[in-house]
Amino acid sequence: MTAASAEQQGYLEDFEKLAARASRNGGAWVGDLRRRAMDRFRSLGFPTTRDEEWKYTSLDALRRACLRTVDAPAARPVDGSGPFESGDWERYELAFPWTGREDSTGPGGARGGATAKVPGKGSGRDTPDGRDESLFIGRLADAVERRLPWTEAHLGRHADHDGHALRALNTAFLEDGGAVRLGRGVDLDRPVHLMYVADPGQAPNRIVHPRTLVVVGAGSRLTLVEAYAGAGDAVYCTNAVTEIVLEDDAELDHYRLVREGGGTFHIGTVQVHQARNSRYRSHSVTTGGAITRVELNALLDGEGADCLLQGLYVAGGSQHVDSRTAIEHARPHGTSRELYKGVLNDRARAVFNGKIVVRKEAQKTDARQSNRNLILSRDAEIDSKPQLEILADDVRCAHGTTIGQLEEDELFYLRSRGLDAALARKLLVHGFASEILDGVAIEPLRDGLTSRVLAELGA
Amino acid sequence: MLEVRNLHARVEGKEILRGIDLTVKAGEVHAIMGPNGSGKSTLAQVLAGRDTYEVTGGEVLYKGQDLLEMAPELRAVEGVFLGFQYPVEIPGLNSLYFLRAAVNAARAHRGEEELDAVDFMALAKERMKAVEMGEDLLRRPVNAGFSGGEKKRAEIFQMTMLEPTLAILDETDSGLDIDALKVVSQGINLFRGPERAIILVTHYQRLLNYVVPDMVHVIHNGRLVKSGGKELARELEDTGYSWVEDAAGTGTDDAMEQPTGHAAGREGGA
Ligand SMILES: Nc1ncnc2c1ncn2[C@@H]1O[C@H](COP(=O)(O)OP(=O)(O)OP(=O)(O)O)[C@@H](O)[C@H]1O
Ligand SMILES: [Mg+2]
Repeated sequence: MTAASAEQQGYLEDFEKLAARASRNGGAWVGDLRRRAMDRFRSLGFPTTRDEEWKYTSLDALRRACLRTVDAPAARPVDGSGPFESGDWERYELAFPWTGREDSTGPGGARGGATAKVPGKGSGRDTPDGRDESLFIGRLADAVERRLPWTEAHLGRHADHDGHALRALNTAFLEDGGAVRLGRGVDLDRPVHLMYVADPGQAPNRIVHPRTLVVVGAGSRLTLVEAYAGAGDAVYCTNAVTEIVLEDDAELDHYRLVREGGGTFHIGTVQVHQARNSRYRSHSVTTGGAITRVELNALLDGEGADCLLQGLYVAGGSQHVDSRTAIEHARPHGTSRELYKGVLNDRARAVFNGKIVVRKEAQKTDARQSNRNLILSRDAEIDSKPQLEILADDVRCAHGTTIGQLEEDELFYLRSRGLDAALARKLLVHGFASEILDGVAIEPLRDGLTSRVLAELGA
Repeated sequence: MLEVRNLHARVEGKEILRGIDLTVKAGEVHAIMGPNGSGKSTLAQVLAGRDTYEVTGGEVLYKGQDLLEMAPELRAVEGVFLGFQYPVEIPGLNSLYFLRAAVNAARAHRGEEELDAVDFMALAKERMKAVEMGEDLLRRPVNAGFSGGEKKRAEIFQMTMLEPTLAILDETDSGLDIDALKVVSQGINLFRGPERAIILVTHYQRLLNYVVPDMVHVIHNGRLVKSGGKELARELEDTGYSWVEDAAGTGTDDAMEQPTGHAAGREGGA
């Protein structure tokens, strides 16, 4: 094994602390998983721009920052309104406020204090034996500790960390986050809202590793809102991994919302495994953060699986936002639709990499991908790269990229009706973004996101 | 209300308006006719403040103010309305939201209270009825996927909502079926009033049968080469524009008839 670099030293120390503390919790497999992942991180090190996958996104600043790991979410009551302009809508809510304060450890070394507003019956809290598999909405730490069988079956089995240093790091430090398990044929009556809240002002130079596991059983339906919010300009890193498993005919509407503070690195992976005739719909909205990189990988591993990826990234100032998606069609008759839109202002830089793989046996695949960008400033930049690997011969596959500015005609039309130039611009940007925002079915959430997006652009 | 004096404008180095003189008084309707490419839309857009056209000479007074100094949005709230020859489609922008913002911009400028959504809707419904426009159109994004005729009707509807003082309608009659033409004409006639003026850019006598103009001007090659009463339009219908080309062919401004009436006494050419 290679010697750990100086930059890795803090991570190793923090890891040993965690390993000692967490060894009692859950089965031995969790400890093994963590240690294997830590070994991978040690030998991989932080990626550099010499790695093809990280060509346009440099993590040098993150590497040099030598962030220390916050060991568990701090206890803090959730008032229900949340920091994400989430508004008033019926939901099951779990909040993970990481403040990095020393008092985040509860009495007797009990971890966490993530607060939950979850359904009584069958929730993580109320079925201590964990036998009721039809419904679990709770903390991953709880689910693992109680050895619920779906944790071992899926945790760390989908998001590959062998070749990815940051996923390896998340896996090495995996401890808590949201866990949702629906058994067969459950149609949950309201969305599940996972809130990962960072308050780096309390203790800067920290890194957190939220881990989310969602397993939707055959024929079940779920709406999941996974939100990351931070405040202030302190240096901080969210390094998140979410694993999603959709069994046969399962359906998931997934909102992944990122609104980090100005000094934040946000690195995230969503790994989706789709079985036969399952439907996955992703709506990803990213604002804020200094450097953001979100990878979304979907494996359509059953016949007739259906995947829709919609994304919106908005960046200004000197923000850097990198969206990387990979849709892999492994079985016949799958469909995928992808539309990612970006709005860039000032000196912002965006990267879009959309990969579609159609394996040889995935005949009759129908895949379409599109990336559209609106550039509001001369100094903003976008690198957009579609990547198709088609090994089957009977498929339909299309992709397209556009990069444009606000239309002079449209601006003049609005101004000729009395709207001042700033308002006209704002309406046009909103018009561009609304194609994605309109896909947000939860109305108060959509309104909150819309104002957030416009505010981000100073509009 | 509007005085255009020796207006010159060019786009991409090409001179398109080459000395326009035009005076429009409150209460009047002026028609501007002329061959394709003669500069009608350019004139209309310059008056509305489009900055892709560079004004290289002349002046424009609107209610005594220097119109060319004003931003397009200021012209609009001051009561200038341009009905576009080709209204722009803006997918993603809600028509109702847009129009309410426009109406309220004008109201705010006049120091009036803004209309709330309910009052606005009531007004919109009433005005829509007047131009027989389907309410469903308002539920769609601005002009998005509208047919040619629907777009023109929507322009007139916007005009009736914004209640401008000077309406410049650029070929609002083109693309309308016979019934729609009647409805739109009715809309324009309802809008006519002693405090308002209208400039109609059109290719067809048909519109002028419904909206009878006080003056008709012929534009050719960036200049108004002939002006007259409503009978001039009928004359043009019979003879076409070949004669203006002949007239322009003589090459001197003196050979052209000066615009009559309000422009009398001023230089017709550069
Ligand atoms: N943006 C532009 N760039 C280059 N040329 C232009 C531009 N706008 C107008 N022109 C030219 O200016 C001339 C006048 O155009 P304009 O649109 O004013 O004509 P018009 O009289 O309205 O014609 P029509 O009856 O066809 O609507 C045309 O030759 C046109 O090609
Ligand atoms: Mg024209």
